[in-house]
Amino acid sequence: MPIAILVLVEVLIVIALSRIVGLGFRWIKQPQVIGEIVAGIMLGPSLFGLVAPDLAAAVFPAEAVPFLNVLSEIGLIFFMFLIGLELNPKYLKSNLNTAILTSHVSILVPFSLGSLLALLLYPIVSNSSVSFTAFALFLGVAMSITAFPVLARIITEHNLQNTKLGTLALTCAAVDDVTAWCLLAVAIAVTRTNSMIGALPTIFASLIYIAFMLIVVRWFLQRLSKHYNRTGRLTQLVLAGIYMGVVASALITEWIGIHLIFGAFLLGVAMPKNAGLTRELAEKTEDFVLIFLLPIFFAYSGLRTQIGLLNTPELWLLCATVLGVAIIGKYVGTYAAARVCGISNREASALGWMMNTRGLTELIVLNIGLSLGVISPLLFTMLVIMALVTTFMTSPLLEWTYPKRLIRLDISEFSSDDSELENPKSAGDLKETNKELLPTYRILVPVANPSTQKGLLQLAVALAQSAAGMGGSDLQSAAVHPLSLIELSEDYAFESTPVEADRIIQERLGKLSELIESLQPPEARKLVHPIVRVTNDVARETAQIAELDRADLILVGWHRPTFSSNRLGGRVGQILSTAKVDVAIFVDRGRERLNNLLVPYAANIHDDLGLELALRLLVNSQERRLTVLRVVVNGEAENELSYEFRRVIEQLPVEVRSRIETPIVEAAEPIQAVVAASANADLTIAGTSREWGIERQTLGQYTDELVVQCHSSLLIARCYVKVRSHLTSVLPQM
Amino acid sequence: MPNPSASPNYQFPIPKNMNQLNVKLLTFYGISIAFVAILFKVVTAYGETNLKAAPAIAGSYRFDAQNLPECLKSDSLVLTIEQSGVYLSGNLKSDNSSVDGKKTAEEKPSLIGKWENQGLNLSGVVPNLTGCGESTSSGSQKSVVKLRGIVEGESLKGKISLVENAAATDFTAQRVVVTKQEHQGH
Repeated sequence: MPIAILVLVEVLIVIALSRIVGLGFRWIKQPQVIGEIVAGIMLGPSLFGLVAPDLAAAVFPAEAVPFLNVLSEIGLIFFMFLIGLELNPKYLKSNLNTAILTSHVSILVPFSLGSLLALLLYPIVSNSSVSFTAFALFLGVAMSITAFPVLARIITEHNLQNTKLGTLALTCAAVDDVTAWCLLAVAIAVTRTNSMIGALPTIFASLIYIAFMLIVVRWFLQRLSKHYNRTGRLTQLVLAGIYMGVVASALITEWIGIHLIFGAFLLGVAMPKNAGLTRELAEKTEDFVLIFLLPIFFAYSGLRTQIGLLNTPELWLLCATVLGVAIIGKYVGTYAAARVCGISNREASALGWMMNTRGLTELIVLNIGLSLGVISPLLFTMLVIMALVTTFMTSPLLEWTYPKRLIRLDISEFSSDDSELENPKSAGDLKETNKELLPTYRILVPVANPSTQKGLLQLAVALAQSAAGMGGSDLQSAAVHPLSLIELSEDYAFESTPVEADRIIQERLGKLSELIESLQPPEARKLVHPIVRVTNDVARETAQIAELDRADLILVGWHRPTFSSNRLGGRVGQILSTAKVDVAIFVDRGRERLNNLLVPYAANIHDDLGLELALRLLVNSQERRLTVLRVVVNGEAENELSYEFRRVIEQLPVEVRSRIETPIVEAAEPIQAVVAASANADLTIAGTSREWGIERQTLGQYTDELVVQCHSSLLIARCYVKVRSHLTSVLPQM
Repeated sequence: MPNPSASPNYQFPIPKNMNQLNVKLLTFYGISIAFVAILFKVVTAYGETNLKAAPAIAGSYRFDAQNLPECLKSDSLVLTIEQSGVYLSGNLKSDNSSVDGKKTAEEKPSLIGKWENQGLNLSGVVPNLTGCGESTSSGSQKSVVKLRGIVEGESLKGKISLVENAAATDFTAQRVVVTKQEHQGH
């Protein structure tokens, strides 16, 4: 087979496997990029070569490896360019002192431990062609790495990017990253010249080049950015120039004596930040690099990873030692420095685990080391295992030390400070005084598209608060939380960096604010507090937020699901399955006022919920009328209102009771009777029961019939919790 | 609220809070960096003088194979050694094509051993040599090759034996010079 064809076949296999394993890792809530790294290792002698050596040798023969090398170098250069693009000085502006101290200690401690470890490892896993100095330096750098890109994504996914802890972690990681690259440059220079003194000219030349990039080239790029802002688009000519610049810069740093990646990284850093130019550039470049080229780098690295080399217990013990030193160095160093700066125990611990993430950046460093011959294949494999394990640990440990329930929900329109953990003592006092002001009835309203769901929000407001003039004390206030969840589908794209995620969040908040401003009556607007979050599982996050927020009701709008015809399938169905709260689904038929309420009643818990909600609406406005319709099929005994409700209705004020009618209708088909009655109503509230043909996941012919044929707007109620009462907060005597 | 960092010309912040970096913090940095630098210097000084790593013996060695026992006898026998410090692995082949020093990406070395006491020890099966992978007189037992030797300059000298017959034969092998391109690699 001609070599080019073979390489293309290999690329096909690599990309497919990367995607599959990456998705698998996302499913177990680990970063997708780690899955891609593991896919690369699987294709090498560690798994593929072990299980099917002949097939493996046929697919990945020795002649093809140099070509993979070339492709992976190109991928690596452009990937480092993207990393430089993402490095935003905005991360550095807060907590600068604490961050610099913490991040430098978090480098110095593992570096020292790494050098000491070198004393142990050098006689065992190195050979005499490598000087001890170069070896110790490389090992020290390998221990000190924190993977900024992977950590930034983990932080965004845990919605920490606006908290004090999150910004501190990002700042530390950014400083750490840059410092580690500098150390790596020194290490490479020392390795190539084999002495510290010999590296000095290289280091000096690098410093000059860095200054040149950050001053001269940056000035030029800023003018380019202004030009972009005027024309509004990134032409292919400009893009060609930038790509040429990336490659040229990489070649220059290679010629200087440090590695190709630094030139590309520097150009990325020199690009003006927060510019439309940068964003569009990132979007144009990242897809091909992340999908096509980067997995090839992982495969190339995987072909050099031989887990089979660790074939004796003593070698695994050595691997465990390396892992232990790495973890202890980073965790203890970061923890101690954070505590010295006055950060609380829990936050310092979480910070320590976060800085322990080594992931992708470590892999880049290790491959350079292996290519230069500083580290041997055995040590390379051990360090790769170390990189994977430390990254794998981060998400679960972060969840354990800093669980989501301790992160206060962002319920104000502008980003709030996570002050609960700053002053744990005063938070308790604050809660005392705030008790009276806490809302007693909370409605969570998932809003997918702010521009079309005004009716939904209007209903929520109507359910929440009594209209003006109804009295009721201020203490019994309600809150409506429109919830907008931003689903980041791409795990590793530019849009999932904390800065970009923030920007998207602010956009959403803006749209929600517009919607809130259009609500009637104006007094109701102060009840509404939007929540905007980033997530990759909308239903699960909605359920979690409902729990954390202690919502009484989730009010969701109906939309037709993509793959099933059942109105209660799709996204709504997922929320129904996962949420442990009462749920009401609103089918908006565009009625302006919801004054005539109809509740078909068949004495089950869902209908009871519907009735409760109807009564709540009734109490909140004097203009509303309620018809509780009971349908008797020929010959059957009539349904009685359940005991509790008879009690509740007796306890209602006379004025309210006078607006309730409870007719009984005889009909052969209950649903048709309800449909007929709905012609006179503004809002029909029905429980999810077989009676009204609204049953979840039913395939029978009556499913959704009511939904389809109902003349009025429809609210479908699904009861989860029987103990909760939706009426408590509107009826003062209860 | 206007976001100053949203402007396209946002620079890296010159630390406005330089005055907040009090002397105590600066002295702490100075001391800690100095400490680590001195530690590193001490460690490397100790390491350079006292620690010796195994010599770099990785590569291909061609045997003078005419007087080797049984199945090892061939016109060109090549031993390829891979090294990770004291841990060695290798392959014995009679192919000429493996001389260029590149191993197949997926090939698993069949000989395992260590470098100790100034010499190397390798043992294992040799499936790549015809006649050595098949069953011999006693059922399906594969021939296991044992190799001990020292490296003198560019040659490897020592004893080699097939485990069944205890007698070990002397051998000499010359290192095959590999073209330089792989070494400056990336």
